[in-house]
Amino acid sequence: MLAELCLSYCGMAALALATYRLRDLRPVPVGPLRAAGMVLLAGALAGAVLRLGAGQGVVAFLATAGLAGIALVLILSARPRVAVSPLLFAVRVAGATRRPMGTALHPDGASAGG
Amino acid sequence: MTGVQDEVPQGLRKVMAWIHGWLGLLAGWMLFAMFLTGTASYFRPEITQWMQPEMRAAPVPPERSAADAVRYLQTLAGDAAQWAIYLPDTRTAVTRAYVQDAPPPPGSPPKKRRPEIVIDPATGVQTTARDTRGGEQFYRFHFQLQLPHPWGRWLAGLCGMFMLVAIISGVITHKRIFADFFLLRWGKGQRSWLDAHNVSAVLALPYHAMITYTGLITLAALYMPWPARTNFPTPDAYYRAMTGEPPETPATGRAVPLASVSAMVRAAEREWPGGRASRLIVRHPGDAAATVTVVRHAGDGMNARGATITYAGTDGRRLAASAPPGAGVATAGVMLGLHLGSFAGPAMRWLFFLLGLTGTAMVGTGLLLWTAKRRRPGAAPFLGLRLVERLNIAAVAALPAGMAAFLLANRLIPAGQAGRADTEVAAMFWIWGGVAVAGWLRPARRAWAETLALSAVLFAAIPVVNAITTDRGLDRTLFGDGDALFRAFDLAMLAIALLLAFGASRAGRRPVPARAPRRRIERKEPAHAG
Amino acid sequence: MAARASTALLGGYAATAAIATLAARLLPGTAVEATAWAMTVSFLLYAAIVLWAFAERRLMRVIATIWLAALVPAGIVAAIGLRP
Repeated sequence: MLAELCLSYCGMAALALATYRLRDLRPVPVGPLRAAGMVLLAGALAGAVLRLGAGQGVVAFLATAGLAGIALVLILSARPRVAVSPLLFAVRVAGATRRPMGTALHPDGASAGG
Repeated sequence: MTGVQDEVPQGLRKVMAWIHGWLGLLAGWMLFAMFLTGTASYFRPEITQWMQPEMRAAPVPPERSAADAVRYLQTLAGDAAQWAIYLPDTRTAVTRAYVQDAPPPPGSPPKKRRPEIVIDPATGVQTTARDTRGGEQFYRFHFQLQLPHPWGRWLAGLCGMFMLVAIISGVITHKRIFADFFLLRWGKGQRSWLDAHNVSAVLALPYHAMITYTGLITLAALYMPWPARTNFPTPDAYYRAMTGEPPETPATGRAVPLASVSAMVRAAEREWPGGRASRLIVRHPGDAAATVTVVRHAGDGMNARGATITYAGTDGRRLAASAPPGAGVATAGVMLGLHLGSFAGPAMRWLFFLLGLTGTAMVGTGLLLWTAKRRRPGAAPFLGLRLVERLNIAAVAALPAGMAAFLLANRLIPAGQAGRADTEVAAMFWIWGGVAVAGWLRPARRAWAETLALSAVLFAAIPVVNAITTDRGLDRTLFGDGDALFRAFDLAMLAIALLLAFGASRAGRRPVPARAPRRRIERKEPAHAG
Repeated sequence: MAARASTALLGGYAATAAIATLAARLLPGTAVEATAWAMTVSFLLYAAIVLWAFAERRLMRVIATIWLAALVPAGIVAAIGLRP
């Protein structure tokens, strides 16, 4: 349940960052943000369904996502940077596993391409 | 234009907004009370446990509690028409029983309905813990509104329909749902209340729609009985078709002792892999035609109408079992389960509780938005606005005080006093009404702050009074072992007190007067070097 | 205005009850299934009727339609009798 809560929260945070009002805090453009948000929420839904089965899983997901969204809005209204910091941290970590110019980390350490 | 609008406006969104505002206002005060008491009801057995601190029941296997209950009821009401026995489970340690007496011979006055019998599983007889309604008070108020049957349920149903239409009209009228999805601005008067109303409504919309619709379904037999009347000769026949119980057989008058119910409970649980027996319905106990129906626990699945197996009372012979329900009956049962949250484990129940509070906030912010929209700075408020403002204070700020008073009364009224259960209920309504009326004597803003502050104080007093009057207060439970429920309950009371205090402090702030936008003064700046 | 509201509230309720009862009577399958479906869906029908009663501009049309929707299905049920 905790994992689903975190996924939901970060998914909601991504969707929030994609809105006009928070454009100054965006680490990446709107498109990838929205996509990331949807993916994270889908992950939370999948986790709930795998854990509880279809019926209870959907109910648990809707409850978790809604409450995560409300928590996000409450924190956003007072401290926007604090509210989105978990997501920004995750993006920074994801970015750090990539070499510059978009080359992926190769298993044996050598980089594919320039 | 202030006040009543006589004409329905044109345009779909405008019409929907008009409907939404009127239905929300007319039903809002009662809906707030229904949401708040309903949310509390998610913890109905826990509240009852807290309100009977003398009871420290250890769990007892269901077969034994069933046998004890039957033995006790045989001494108390051996010639009854029906016993309904609610077995203990993980949240309720006691056995509860309801007796339905046989109709009296013609010419005699009708027998009074017997009150609930609470059996202590440790002793096997009626409990000696203090008499209280417990969590049942909030639960029953939630759908009966303390009115006599059936008026309370009808009024609650009307409010439920208003809520349903308000939700649908609210969705249709809400423009740009996603643009302002995450917007919440503080301290901006009407705009803040609108933001808060939108956030609490939209982010938990699936819950609000679900709880409203399923709430109507729970009493569908009262609100929409005619389909059943057309298809079944009696309402009882429809009920039996739904639950799978066999048709009623009249008593023979021959006395035959009841067979072992423990064996029946064990047999039923064997047939349900991983399932629990939750209820026994014994018809014509002690008669040759006696039957015992074992009902499965509502929390075993999403369908709250558990399967049933019926045994003959004389020898425990398996008579009938409910067939797996069809899609229609199962849908109604799942809706019931969703409304009660019976399938929910502890974590999920807390989520439901928080969602219920969100719904309460949705209704409350809606009511406050209505007045905020119509307040004109400097102008005297019109009569309707004054009336709505006062009703808002009575419904939103004073009700928590009443609920806290109910819990405080439980600790302050001596445990042995006669009629104490009714006195606790009286305390809830006298304090609720008294605090509301006291608020009417104050200017509106001060009334909000003071009423909320009083509610906060009353909630904070609950753990204090608990520690003074019982040996299960926070002074012992906070770091002790084994009284987790009392600890959690007292801490929750403190959390609610903090929330109300926060509300009181914000309500007491002087509103910042709207400033005229500052005019920019053109300044000639020296050109920057470089 | 009062006419529209009372038609929506009372007439709408009557119409919902009549339509739901007719549906329960005529739906195929077992009696208990038909009854359960009809009762479950009826509240949504009532909500839709109430919303339409306010969204539809012409008051006469609202009054006529709703009361017709209440009387005709009720009449049919009365005529064809209870479910066998």
